[in-house]
Amino acid sequence: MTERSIVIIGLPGSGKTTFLAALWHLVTDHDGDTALRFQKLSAGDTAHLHRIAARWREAKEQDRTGVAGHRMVSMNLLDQKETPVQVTFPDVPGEAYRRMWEDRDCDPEIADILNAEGVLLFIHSDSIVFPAWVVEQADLAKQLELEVPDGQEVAWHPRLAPTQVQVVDLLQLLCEPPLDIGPRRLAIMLSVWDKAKGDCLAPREYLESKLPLLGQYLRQGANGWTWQIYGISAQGGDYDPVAPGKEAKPEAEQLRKLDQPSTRISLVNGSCESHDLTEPLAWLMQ
Amino acid sequence: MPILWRSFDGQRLLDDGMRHNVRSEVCMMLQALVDGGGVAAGQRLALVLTKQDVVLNSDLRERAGDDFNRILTKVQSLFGHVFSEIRAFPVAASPQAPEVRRGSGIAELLSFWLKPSIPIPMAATEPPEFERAYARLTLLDE
Repeated sequence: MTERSIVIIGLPGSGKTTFLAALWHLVTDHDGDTALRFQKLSAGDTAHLHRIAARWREAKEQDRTGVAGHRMVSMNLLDQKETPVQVTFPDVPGEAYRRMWEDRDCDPEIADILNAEGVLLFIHSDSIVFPAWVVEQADLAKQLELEVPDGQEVAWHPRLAPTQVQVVDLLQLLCEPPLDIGPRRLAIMLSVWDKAKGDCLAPREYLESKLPLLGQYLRQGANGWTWQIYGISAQGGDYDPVAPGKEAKPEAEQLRKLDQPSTRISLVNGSCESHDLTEPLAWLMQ
Repeated sequence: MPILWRSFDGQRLLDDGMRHNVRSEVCMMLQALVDGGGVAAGQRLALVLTKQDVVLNSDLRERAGDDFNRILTKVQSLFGHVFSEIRAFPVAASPQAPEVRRGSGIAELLSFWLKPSIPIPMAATEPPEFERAYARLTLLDE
């Protein structure tokens, strides 16, 4: 069996675990045509995949405390030529990647994981932190007739940096020793695409419009990435929150009523839309 | 064991969220049995939906029935080549409502269980031809 490894990276809450949950559901449910198909259960630990997929089907948000620490999960799949392929993914909390940006540090274990040949980069399209200039913020406050008190400066922290700055730095780190393994493919996944649809932009246009620094970095081939961009909605809407006492979401109720959970999934590539989450994986493995 | 029996709680089919997990759990458990070599050739499979009375007394009985049929169709399409026969049995072993007979569906299930095993079709094979007479010697039945 051919063994391929794909690393899923992204800042906290960017949709990595939700993607894995939806992917596991899609391939094991044999629901519709997909570029990669389920072959058999792997010998490794599939309990984590079953657990997150169960929450996904019930339209409940993933329990982040329940998925603390990183886990390696493997899927035995068949490609379109019926060749068995074992794809290994790490499910690493986004804090590990945030730490790379903020502390310029990386656990040796995470560094090993990052040596995968294919990279899936998740960006939450609905919570992009845009660059903000002090002059513009002050002007906006003035227009809204809000008082701007003197002497209350907020200390700068790396976490306050715009999303695109953090993401470009993360990609540059992957091209530096000890993480550099030569040319590799990168699939950018703009998650929560259902919320970004209102802008009526294709994923590539969205990238250029909302994350121009990242767009320019990739377009200029600064680090030689072969890349592709997708809009992905792995949930189809808001799921019920994990915290006890929080109100259930009416959207989640509607999603549970769909007879085929895989119809919640939407993957946009250019102008094409499908439910096939394996398409980016198949592209990464070409 | 000529029959494999996989039962699931009919009440779970009435829950909007859990109903999706029922289908997945049934298929994954069977997949684990098949991948682990736990299914003998020629075995039959009974899919047993328990608490049929709860399902029948619910406003969602039609949807639950459709879900149950979808599970059966899915199992047949995925494991039809592994089992010699796959049948569904809605049962109510201890119904809480008077409309459903106590033990409903159990007799059919037991009859299915007691059916004789279906012989496994074997492809006829030609014995190999050996050049040496010594190699053609066979054991005599005592």
